[in-house]
Amino acid sequence: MFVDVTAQLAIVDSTELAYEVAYAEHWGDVFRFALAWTNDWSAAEDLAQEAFVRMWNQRGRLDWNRPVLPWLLVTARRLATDRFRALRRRLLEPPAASSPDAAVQARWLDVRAAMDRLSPLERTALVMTAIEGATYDEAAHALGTTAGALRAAVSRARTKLETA
Amino acid sequence: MARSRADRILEQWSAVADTARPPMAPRRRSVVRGSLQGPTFATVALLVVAVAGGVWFANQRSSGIGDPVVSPPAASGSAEPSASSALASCLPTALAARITLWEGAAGHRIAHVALTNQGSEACTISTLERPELVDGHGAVLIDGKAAHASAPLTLAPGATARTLVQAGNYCGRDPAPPVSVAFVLAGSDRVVASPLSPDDVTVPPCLGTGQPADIQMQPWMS
Repeated sequence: MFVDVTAQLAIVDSTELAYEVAYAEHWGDVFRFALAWTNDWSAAEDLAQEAFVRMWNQRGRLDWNRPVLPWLLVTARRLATDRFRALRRRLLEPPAASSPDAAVQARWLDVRAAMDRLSPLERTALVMTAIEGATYDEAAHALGTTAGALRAAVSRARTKLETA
Repeated sequence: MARSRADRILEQWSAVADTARPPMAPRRRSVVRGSLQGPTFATVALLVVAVAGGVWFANQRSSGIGDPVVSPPAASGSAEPSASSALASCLPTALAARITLWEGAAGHRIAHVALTNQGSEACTISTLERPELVDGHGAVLIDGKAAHASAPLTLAPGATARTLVQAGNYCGRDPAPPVSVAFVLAGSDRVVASPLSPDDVTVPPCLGTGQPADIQMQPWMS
């Protein structure tokens, strides 16, 4: 997950190209992070997109010589915790056109039900460390917490899933 | 060594999540589809008013739910926003509310609620009411804040308005089923929505006892 594009970006003199490289490399990372946090497919797609929009809007202030993924994840988490966002999106948006197909949708609903027992922090902490390969420090930074709290969240998450 | 149940779930999660594909091109503009923000709201509202010959739009900024984003008013429909004050407020006995769906998102639970005017005459409701999360014994689990003044919404006989009610951080006792949502109307009358099911005990997860619970609603919309 944290195979970053820093090396590429450092030698790219075009912010736009750097942005497109970051998009290609990290959209999936941001989507999965958002999916873990929200447990909602279309919300995660929106959050991933919105995080990159924020990145584009702030491209002039970003340090492109540093890893961009941590910035994207923190941005996505802040967007996700905007407690009005979900309401706004649901009330005003048509159904997402890019929702998974029927087969994937069925699998997703099963997994979603299991993961719904976890809090957003527990879910995301577990996904980041167990699936995405992030260290506790990396995950804690993205989630705005401490490594200790994150470790506890991962433990709780595993216990909940085992007893689901 | 046998995989644990947690590992199997994570494996499935990963497999499904990996099927997501980004749009072909990076997005460089806001993607909150259909939403209107800031100056855009005012601009579009003016256009809609001009086209529709004067449909409503007032007081959304004082809705009390923060950064309100409202959709363009409908130029037609069975439940149109109206600035008219000639119609009487709907009596609670003429209103039937029901929860059509519960959703979970980011630690919250969101109820989709439909409100129908079952009376024989058109009447008005405030687009924002004070929402409450209530249990089967009528106990208020989470009490919302009183709404600021909001634009009236006219409900023709049989017309239905819809809203979303978001509740968060419930750390109280287990509720008596069924859990539902109520709206406190002017004069302290209440309309309690029919629950999704008789045994529904949907409450938002407890995110911390040090944080207050909250419940808020979007404006009623046709």
